[in-house]
Amino acid sequence: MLNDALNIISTNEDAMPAKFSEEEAFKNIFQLLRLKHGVDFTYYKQTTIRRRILRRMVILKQEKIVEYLQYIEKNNVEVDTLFHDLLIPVTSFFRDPEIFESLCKTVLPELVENIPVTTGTSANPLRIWIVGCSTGQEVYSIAICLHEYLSDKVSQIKIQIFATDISEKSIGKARSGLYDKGEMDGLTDGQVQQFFTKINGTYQVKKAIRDMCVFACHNFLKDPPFAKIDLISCRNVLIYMEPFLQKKAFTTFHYSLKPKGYLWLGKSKSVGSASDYFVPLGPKEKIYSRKAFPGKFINTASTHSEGILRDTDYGLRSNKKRKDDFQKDADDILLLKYTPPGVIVNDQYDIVQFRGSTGDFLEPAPGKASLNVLKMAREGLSFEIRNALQKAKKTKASVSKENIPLNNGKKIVSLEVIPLLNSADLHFLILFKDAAFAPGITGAGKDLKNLAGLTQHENIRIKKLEKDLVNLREDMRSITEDQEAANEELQSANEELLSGSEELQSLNEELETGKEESQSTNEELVTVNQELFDRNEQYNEARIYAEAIVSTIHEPLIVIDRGFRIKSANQSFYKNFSISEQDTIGKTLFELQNNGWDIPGLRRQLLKIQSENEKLISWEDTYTFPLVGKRTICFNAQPVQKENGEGLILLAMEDITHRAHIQLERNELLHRFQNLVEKAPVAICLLRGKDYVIEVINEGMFEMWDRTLEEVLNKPAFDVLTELRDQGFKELLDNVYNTGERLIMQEIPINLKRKGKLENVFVKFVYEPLREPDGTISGIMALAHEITEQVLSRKKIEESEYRYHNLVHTSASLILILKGEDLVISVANDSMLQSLGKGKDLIGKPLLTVLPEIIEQGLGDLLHNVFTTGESSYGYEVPVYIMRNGKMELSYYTYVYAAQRDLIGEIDGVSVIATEVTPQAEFNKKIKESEAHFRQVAELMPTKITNADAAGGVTYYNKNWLDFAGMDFEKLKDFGYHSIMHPGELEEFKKRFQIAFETGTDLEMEMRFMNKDGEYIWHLNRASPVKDESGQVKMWIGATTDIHNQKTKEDTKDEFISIASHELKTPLTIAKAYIDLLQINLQKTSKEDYNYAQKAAESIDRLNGLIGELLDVSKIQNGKLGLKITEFDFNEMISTAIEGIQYASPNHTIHRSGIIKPLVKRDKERLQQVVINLLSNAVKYSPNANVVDIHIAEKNGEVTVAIKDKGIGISKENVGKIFERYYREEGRATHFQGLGIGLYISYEIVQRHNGTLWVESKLHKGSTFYFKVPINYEAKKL
Amino acid sequence: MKKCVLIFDDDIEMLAVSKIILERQNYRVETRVCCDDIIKDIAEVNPGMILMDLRIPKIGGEQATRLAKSEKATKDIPIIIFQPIQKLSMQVKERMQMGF
Repeated sequence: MLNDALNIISTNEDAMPAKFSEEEAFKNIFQLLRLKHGVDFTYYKQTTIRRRILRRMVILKQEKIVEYLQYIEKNNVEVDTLFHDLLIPVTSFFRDPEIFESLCKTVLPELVENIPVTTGTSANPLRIWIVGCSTGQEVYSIAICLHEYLSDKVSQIKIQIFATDISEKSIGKARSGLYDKGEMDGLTDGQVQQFFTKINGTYQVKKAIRDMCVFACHNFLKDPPFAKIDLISCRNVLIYMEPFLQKKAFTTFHYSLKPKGYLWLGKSKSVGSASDYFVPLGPKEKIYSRKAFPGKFINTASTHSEGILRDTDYGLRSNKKRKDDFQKDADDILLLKYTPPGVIVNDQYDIVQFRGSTGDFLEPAPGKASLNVLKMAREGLSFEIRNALQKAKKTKASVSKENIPLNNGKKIVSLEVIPLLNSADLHFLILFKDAAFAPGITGAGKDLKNLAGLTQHENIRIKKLEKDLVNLREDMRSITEDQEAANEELQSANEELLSGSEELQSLNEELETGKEESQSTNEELVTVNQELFDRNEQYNEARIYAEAIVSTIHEPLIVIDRGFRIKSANQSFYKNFSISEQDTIGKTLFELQNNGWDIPGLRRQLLKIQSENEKLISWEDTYTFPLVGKRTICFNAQPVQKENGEGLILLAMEDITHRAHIQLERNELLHRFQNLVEKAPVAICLLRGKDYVIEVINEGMFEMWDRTLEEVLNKPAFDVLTELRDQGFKELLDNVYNTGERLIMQEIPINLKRKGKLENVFVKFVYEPLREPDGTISGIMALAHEITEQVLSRKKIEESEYRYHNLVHTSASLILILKGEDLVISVANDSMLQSLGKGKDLIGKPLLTVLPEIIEQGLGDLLHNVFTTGESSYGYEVPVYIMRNGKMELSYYTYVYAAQRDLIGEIDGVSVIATEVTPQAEFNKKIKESEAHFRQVAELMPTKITNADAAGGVTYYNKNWLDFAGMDFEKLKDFGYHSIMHPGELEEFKKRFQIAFETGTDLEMEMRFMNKDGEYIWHLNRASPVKDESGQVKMWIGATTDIHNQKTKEDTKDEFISIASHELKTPLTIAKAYIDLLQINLQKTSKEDYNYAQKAAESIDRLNGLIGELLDVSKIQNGKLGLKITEFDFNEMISTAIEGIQYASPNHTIHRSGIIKPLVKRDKERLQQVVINLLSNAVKYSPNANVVDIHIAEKNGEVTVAIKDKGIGISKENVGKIFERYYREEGRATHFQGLGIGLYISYEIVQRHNGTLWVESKLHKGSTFYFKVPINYEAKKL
Repeated sequence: MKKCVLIFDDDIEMLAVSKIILERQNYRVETRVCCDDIIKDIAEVNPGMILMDLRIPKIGGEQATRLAKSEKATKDIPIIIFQPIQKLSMQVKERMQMGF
């Protein structure tokens, strides 16, 4: 790619196979640019231009220029891009600062000096033209320079800086004057601050600088230049141009600058070929001053030249090059020697080159030095040259003039003007030829002279004509000269016009931009204006309102200025303070009415307003005014700052004298009211709003509520009195609030929370709606009075009255109220009347007259006695004879006679309250008799009797008890009973008593009580509850029987049996031993004797068994049948038992079935005893059968044994008795041996094992005895 | 020399029959109807075994056994105590507690 690019630069022709040659491609591109932007880049420095184009190609990744051409042809945007790229916008603020410095030091002072300083707008402004200004940095740099240099004088000089560039884009940016931070390099901080405004991170050039500058899009090579410029800066443009264009530029600049103007070029540039026009200011500097060169500016727009032209001054360059070229040398010599002399002129006819010796034809004209060929031409030739030139210019062809007489015909010359059409500028080659070589002509002249002498007349005529001709020529020449001078003037005027026009165009452009800006600004202004207009209307309206308000307002209103001078006042002011307008306006406030307004407080306040610019609101002061007297005024003041800085104060006054007075009264009233409320004996509160916020409350109220003031004040009532929420008060209040009707409740119960608990109190209250002035209800006043005590006492009274009435009239008691000494019956209840057998007519009559019979019974005296002494009299079951229906009847009465006292305590009567107890008394009598009877029985009983109430408290011990214990009733009752119990039985007794007491069951226990001699005597103690109809225990009756003798006898008997059995057993054992010995001996000797001995032994065994049974019974009786619990194999135990029976009863076969798998934890011996007993019974009672079945089984942790015989059976009625001690069934006994205690013992043993023993039997069919015991023994629970 | 059984019992009949039976078994049998000095009795007869009626007069079988068991010379002689069953069990328990 790069190589390709280099190839293009090297312009290798082999690399261009396309239909366009490279050069053509470039040309086409330039063409496009020219068409689009009107800028011809043809004469710009080709290397630079091509580098730029290549750069574009690299960016677009195109390899060949032809491709790029095709691309750019299609792509309009690329044309713009390339265009801008070509313009190389390289610039910055204060580029090359040292040059700027010298500019400031040397150039500017001189320029400024030349400008006549005038006030206002200067007629001769300082004009600066910056060519190729790019994005404007340089322009502003120079402007800043100027500004800094001129400092405060800047406003005195009009400065115009024209800044031009061919890039509209750059100009656009330059115009905006907006630069970002990166572009601000080169400026000092101070400059940035002074000349720029920071807007949204970018910097904008300030207006003062911007206004100096005029930006325009301008091609200085093509467009007419600006004129009368003091300084031209062209620092960036020229380096891109071929010398041809540079030269053109210099001429343009030369034209533009004022005679003493300066040209400032870039670092690498010099005026070079244009040194004719400019001379450097210093050796190193790039600032040049204009030479006063008479050259003309020629508008040399190269619009037609498209060919590549080389520098026209190549003579300078080609000297050395052509030295070895002999042909050229020869040509030169030929040219020098044989070509006619001539000059080359430009289209201004200024000579640009002399060729050959032209001294014969041209000579420097006197006066101002000029190379103008017309001026230099020798007399006579000038006219011809002009003609020829003009003709050649017109026809673009060579024009020849022959036989032109020179120096009054002394010399004849001819000339030829050849336009050089192939040059960039129009040039003409003027060739002169000496016509001396044409003698024909010269001779002809001589002939003509000679001919003149032929005739005088003719001579004269010829001379005359010649003279005329000379005159004509002279005339023509002067006319031509005049015309030329006019032409010249026109030309320069035209030039000036063009410059002016260009300037105007630039300005116009600027204006156009400005116009657009101002249009938008205008639009804004219109909007703002509309707003302003609206505001104005509003303001007007407001003003009218304000004025209306001020004039109609009741309050005096004045406006004062800073010096307290009254600017205006309203009518009210005059009226209120009895002052006229002329006395007011313009006067200071304080001097009004002979300084009567010098209110010290007000002055202070106003000064304060002035100094602090604050409002004064409702400041009140009382002051005695000169005419209207003492007034209390409420001042309101507002400082008003006017736009022009004038500070005014609006002072409003309100005469509140009256109001203050009212306020005072109202305060007093309010105070009195508050006092009243607070001190009121009733509770008062004001409830405001629908929430009933407690606004005012007196002590009575919050004390009634048992709340503190802080708790309730300003809180909604039901937030504070939560307990009242559901008691209907809210509804009552709402009703009052909504209807506006007062509510009076005379007596209402309330539950109030006091001291943490709800208390029922009675309150009398009034709810009075509070009305606003407009009649709406805004709250409620509640007046309340707690009447709890009154209500309660009243209720008590009512209740007691009611009770009294009830008591009297419904009472079963007989009631009589007797009044006065005469004992007049005032009240007699129905019961009384009934009892007395009298009617209601009794009432109102003296008692003793109605019942005369009681007088002799002593009751009259009794009543009188009560009346006089006031001591009550009681009677219990007093017999009274009353006359009923003519018969005297005996009645019993229990009564009270009590004195009735009036309020002051004087006895005013007697009350009789009596109960007729006639049946009761009779019944009581009988009970008493009965009781005496039973008491006597109880007393006489040998058994000890006690009575106790339901709770166990003893109410009675009979005599026997007391005698036994040797204590009286009280002593025995309180602590004796338990203390005389034997300690060994006390706990047991208590336990059992507790059970009996709780369950209401009988208690029976053998226990010992200590008698008065200290001996413990056995008793059978029985306690039995006496229950009422509902089964409730009413009382306990205890009967304690002395069983000491029985008990001791029984013990003796058991002891006896035990000893007896033992004693019996000893001889039996001995007897058995001897029989055994006997048997041993007899076995050998006598078979028969042996058998007898055997029988004897069996009998002894049986006797032994019987004795054993007796011992067992004895043990059972004494509760001494102990169990020896071991773990054993039940099956084996059964086997042993069967074996024993089988041995003794070989006639019966014992069938066994069943098995007990687990070991049994029981008393093996005793259970075996049971089995043996049952088996032997089965054998014994089935004499006619030979089979006994025994079955054992285990189920639910229990062992069941069933023994079945086919014997005699047991009758139904006897089945329940067979387990009793010593029971032997009737009939059985006659047939079978035994004590009848075997089953009893078995039964007891099974019981002891927590088991059961039972029998199923059918008479004559056989019996089955069962017993069942748990496998594991557990000690029997109590 | 025959092994000697010493029997303490106040019942002469019982002593007689016991003596007959044991002598038939080829034992030498010594009897005492009361027990006032068991150590002395043992020393006299040098028994291989002692049968003791619990209710032997004077000191009783209990006390006698205790005495015999407390003497080093006599403590190894086995003593069989006679007595009614129900009392025995209790008393055996007591004896056991006493350390016999």
